[in-house]
Amino acid sequence: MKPARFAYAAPDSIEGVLDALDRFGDEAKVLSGGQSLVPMMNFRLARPEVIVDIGRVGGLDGMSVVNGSLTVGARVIHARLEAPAAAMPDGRTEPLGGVLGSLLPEVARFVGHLPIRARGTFGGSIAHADPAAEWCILARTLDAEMVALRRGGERVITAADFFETVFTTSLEPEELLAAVRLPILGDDWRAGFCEFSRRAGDFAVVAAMTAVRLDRATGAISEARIGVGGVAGVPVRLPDAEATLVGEVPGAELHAAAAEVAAGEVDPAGDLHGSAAYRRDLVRAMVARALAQGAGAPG
Amino acid sequence: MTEISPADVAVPVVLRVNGTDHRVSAEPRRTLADTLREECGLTGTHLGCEHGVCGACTVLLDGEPVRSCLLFAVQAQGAEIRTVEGLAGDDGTLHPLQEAFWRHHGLQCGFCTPGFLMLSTGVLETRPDIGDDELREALSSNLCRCTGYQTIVEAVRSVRDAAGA
Ligand SMILES: Cc1cc2nc3c(=O)[nH]c(=O)nc-3n(C[C@H](O)[C@H](O)[C@H](O)COP(=O)(O)OP(=O)(O)OC[C@H]3O[C@@H](n4cnc5c(N)ncnc54)[C@H](O)[C@@H]3O)c2cc1C
Ligand code: FES
Ligand code: FES
Repeated sequence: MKPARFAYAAPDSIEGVLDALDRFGDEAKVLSGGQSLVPMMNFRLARPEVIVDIGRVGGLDGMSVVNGSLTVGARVIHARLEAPAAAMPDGRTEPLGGVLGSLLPEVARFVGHLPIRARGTFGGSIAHADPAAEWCILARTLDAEMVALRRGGERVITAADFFETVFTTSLEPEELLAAVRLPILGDDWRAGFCEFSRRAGDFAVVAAMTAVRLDRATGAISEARIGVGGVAGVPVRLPDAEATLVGEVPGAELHAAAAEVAAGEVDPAGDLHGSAAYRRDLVRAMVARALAQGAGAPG
Repeated sequence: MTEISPADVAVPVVLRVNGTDHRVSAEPRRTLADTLREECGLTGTHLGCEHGVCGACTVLLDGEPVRSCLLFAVQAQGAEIRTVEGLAGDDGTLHPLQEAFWRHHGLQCGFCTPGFLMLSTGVLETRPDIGDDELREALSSNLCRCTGYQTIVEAVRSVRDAAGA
């Protein structure tokens, strides 16, 4: 189908965007890569009066490492995270190394298909808040911080407060998501990501991300994070499963035990892509595989 | 203050398609796909699903394959757009990919073919050494209801191999 009529603005500065959002409030929608918004407009599930296209704004597509976090500009396209490079504190741009440097490309390749990754943006995915979206799961698992701008102000929203329910965030209509800050994981962290979808490029039925921190002296897990998507209206953390891991040394048995707790901890609804029981089974499998992948074992 | 184009008024848009400027007018809601087909008369770009899933509408935007049903014409101003009409030479000589699709039976009804040709053109131009697995994954971006894909994979692989030889 064709989208309903809308008025169109393409400001060339962040101030111009914030002015337009301030002026039109909830009549306006930000257009970034258009890979989620335009399908919804073509279906007429979304009928914004005004489109504020941020594609001509400079300054929203940087990646930089500052104070222990990686700042990802909202307009960074998915494809750039397949080989992430960031401005370092000394000003030079370098390929991103470390745990995040290998995790981001692993995750990026699950996001849609090549032409989707050439247009769709990191910030668009976060703002769209699909509960099975890879970047939303990653943001929730790592407790990312969302930097929101409005005319004359800025606020930082933690992932736990940002995702409210399906396709709904705590961003106000006047606010622009400018960037997302991800904590740089030190080399004592091990991270893994695993997802199940019916066909390559589809949204995940269930996806899991895990990150564990190892005590350098004992090799035991000192901190654990498990995030799962596809089981609720938002990506969720699984504190009971996380607690199973802490204090223990990673290994197949421990991973299986944590995955079992994870499967019991989620409360998915069934739909045409999978029954509740099937999703629970997938949580068990995806969590175990993500943990194994993080530990360097074949999933 | 930022200029706002009203919803119901067609605005002048200049699209650079296959090296030629097309001066057209389009309402903001007009997709690039519809504008190419109806305003520029370039009907080689097909529309299947109109929501980003099938890839029949794939064109190259500054060298990268994109869904032209998910892009408004007003957004594409200033970009180099390439469509299937730009592949063959002026004298009708087929592009190597078109030749290969023909030789390898990479099409049956042909509805998906312009999209697959533009997808593969973009992939081989930007990643000439692409591996077999990555190539299959890239080609999984688009849907074909007829061929079963194997012949499409073979066609594109043959062009990659011939270029590398
Ligand atoms: C065939 C297909 C397959 C896909 N598969 C996947 C997949 O497997 N996984 C996945 O995660 N995604 C998938 N997607 C969606 C894709 O990742 C989108 O790119 C992403 O969800 C939205 O990013 P965008 O830049 O395209 O945003 P848009 O579509 O432009 O916007 C999406 C929403 O976010 C809002 N928005 C965007 N940017 C901002 C901002 N900076 N500030 C405030 N609000 C903003 C918009 O107003 C809109 O409501 C798929 C899409 C298609 C068409
Ligand atoms: S018509 Fe554009 S992807 Fe199907
Ligand atoms: S040849 Fe008929 S859809 Fe591909």
